[in-house]
Amino acid sequence: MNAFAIDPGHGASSTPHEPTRRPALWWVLIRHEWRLTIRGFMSASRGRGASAKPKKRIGRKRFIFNIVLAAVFLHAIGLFALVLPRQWGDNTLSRTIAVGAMLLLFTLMLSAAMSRIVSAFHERRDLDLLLAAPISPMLILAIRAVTVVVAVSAMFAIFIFPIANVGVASGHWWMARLYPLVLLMATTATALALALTGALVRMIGVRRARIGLQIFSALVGASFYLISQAQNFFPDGMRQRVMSLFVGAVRSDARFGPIAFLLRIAAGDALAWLAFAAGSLSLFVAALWFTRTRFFEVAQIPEATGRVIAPLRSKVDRRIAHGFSRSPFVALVGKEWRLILRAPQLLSQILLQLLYLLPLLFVAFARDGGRLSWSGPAAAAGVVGLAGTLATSLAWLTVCAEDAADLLAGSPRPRALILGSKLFAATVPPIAIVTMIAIGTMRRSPGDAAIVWIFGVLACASAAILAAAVPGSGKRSDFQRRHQGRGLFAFVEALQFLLWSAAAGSAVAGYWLVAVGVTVLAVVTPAICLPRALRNVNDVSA
Amino acid sequence: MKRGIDGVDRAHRVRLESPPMTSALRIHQLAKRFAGSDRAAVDGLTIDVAAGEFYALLGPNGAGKTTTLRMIAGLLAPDAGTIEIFGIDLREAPRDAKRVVAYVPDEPMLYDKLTPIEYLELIAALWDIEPARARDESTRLLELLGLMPHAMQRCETFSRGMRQKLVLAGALVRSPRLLILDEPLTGLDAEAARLAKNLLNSHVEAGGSVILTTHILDVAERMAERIGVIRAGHLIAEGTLAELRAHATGGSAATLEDVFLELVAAPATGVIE
Repeated sequence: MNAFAIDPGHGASSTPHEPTRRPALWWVLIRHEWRLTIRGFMSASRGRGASAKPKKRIGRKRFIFNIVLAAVFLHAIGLFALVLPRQWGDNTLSRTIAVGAMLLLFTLMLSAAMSRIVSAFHERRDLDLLLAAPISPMLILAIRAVTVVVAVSAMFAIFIFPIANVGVASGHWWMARLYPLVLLMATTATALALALTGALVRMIGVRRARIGLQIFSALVGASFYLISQAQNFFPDGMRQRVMSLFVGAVRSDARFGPIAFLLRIAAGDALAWLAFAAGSLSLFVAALWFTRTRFFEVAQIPEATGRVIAPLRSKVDRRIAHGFSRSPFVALVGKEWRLILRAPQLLSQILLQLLYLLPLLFVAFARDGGRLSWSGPAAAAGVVGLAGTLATSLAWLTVCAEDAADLLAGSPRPRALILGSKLFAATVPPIAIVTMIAIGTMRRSPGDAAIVWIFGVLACASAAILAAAVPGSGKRSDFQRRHQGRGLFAFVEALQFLLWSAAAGSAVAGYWLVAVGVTVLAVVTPAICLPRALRNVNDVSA
Repeated sequence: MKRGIDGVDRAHRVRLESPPMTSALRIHQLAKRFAGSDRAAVDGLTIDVAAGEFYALLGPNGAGKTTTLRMIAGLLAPDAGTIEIFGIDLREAPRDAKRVVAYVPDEPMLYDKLTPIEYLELIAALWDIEPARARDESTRLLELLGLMPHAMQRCETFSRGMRQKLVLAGALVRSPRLLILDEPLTGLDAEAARLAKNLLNSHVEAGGSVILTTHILDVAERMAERIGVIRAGHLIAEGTLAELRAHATGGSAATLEDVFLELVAAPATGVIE
């Protein structure tokens, strides 16, 4: 036989070996899912951006040692359980905490489940391979969904189970309820997330659904926090009414209703637990059934197959006739803003970052006799921090996450122009926000407005200098992980904005000496980085 | 009206000024070693490409072709050696050199969220192309490459072939005197590949120079006037197809594939010319 000929059916396995036992199909799939899920977790924790340095593979012993160390550490934190009552205290405080904690846990789990579903079903891109194999599609979907349940449970179990372990070990038996609670909540959250995914895909198509899910998952994750903060904006009467409704529901001994159900779960009511288990499992199976056909039809549709309507030729001609500016600055700034505005996922992540700064503004614009008022120092600090954070995020996107770095590097334009345009694009939006806020408060307190504006601009400038000095590189999709692999620099960056915020707050409060001192500290880092930034800007070889 | 092989009115094509010197590219003793690597990616490479010449640079995977092209495009600094593009020393005057070069990498350098028109606008502004000329050239290239119906559609929805065509349009809109292409036909269907080849030929006919790497040896065989073969960062053979055939065991009946495989398999004995 020809040395290169292939004898079908008599390949490597045709040698007279003993017949090997093939592992069960479901086991192969589970192993595949787990391998990918765990590697996904690992790469997320290490950072996948180009800035992240490859790490050495750690040995098995070292790995086990790390796990044991983490377990000991988490159980040490879990000692907190010892201060909790040994018996479930059925009083208003316990009930309120239990209901609040369960609602918070559920919103976070729902957010995590949605994000994992997007990653497992729409980003991993292995469904073509799996669906082409002679395996039941339902089995693939079921195993993938169960893996999401386990992954979501694990994400929260890491922090909750050590507390439960310590509690149970010390005789706080009611804490044993935390184990099934986490698992059943994760099942319910995954079922809801699956149903939502299916519905969204059906309504708006795969690509938009994926973006929508990412935004929605982030908003769900922050919803509890945002609702808790937003009450500061309610009129006094309304705030009291909402609170009394909630407290009334928590105190009530009603048998039915969502809060009554959560209270019965917290109290260990066997019937409620049975209903919870049966309900969450049924919901999960129903979600799988509801999702199955539509899901596999569209899960792997490439983006290029979206419906495209060719524009009228006259429209294209008009666009070409009005385009093509000669200014590279205008072209580069326009490009950066387009890229930011056309990425809703990135925008939502940036806006979410800013949302977390809202409490400062809630404090700042605290209610004053029924009207919102500008309460100086905290507001100044909040606005300056907001501007700095936004500038840093945008500077990372424009400078570090350049999609076609070689195109720009290969152009005959000076690097100073390219980098300068990018930094301009990053700093103008936060400076515009600061300017609007300053103008808004000008009539009420011109001095404060001037301070906020000056420190806001300084915070943006320092963000620009840091970005130019340590540009790094990464992908836009790594935006949330951009700090990983940048170590000390990320810390310095965060510290920087704390200092600018503190300086602005102190100045508005009238502590001028403190303000000057903090400003000096805030200037140190950008001053140290400035020569390096200028060197990078003028580097003709780059 | 005289039309070129790409079907476009020659009178409307931008004529490339013939350079006063004969060399479009002259690289001498070029060397590059990456940190952490035990061998040089490019090691003492010397190549001379004449103005108006179509030159194919061939080599097995990892031979140093892409590294060489990136150094010529000014994206990578060489450890040693010199690069002159139309007499401009790349190290001395990088911006002047970049002005006359267009580099098309194997992975298209595109922005997913921009439309082809916006992409070409950016390139025209970066290469300081006069707006009226940029408009005309963009319209011509978008039409020619079949991208006009997608001109206002974001690139994220494009297939690999469409992306490759847009990158080619981005390179040609600059009317470069030296066009460097790294595997330009990857991902193109037969029709698009034919179109791309015609465009490259037209570019050479108009006085431009082309340096191309490809693993499709048939393309090099049909299009290139001279062929250079590199292995492990060295130039191991250079010449016209006939000159290279003369050194092959198959003689004049040998295909470029035969010659290439023989060359890369043979022990290093210096440059065959």
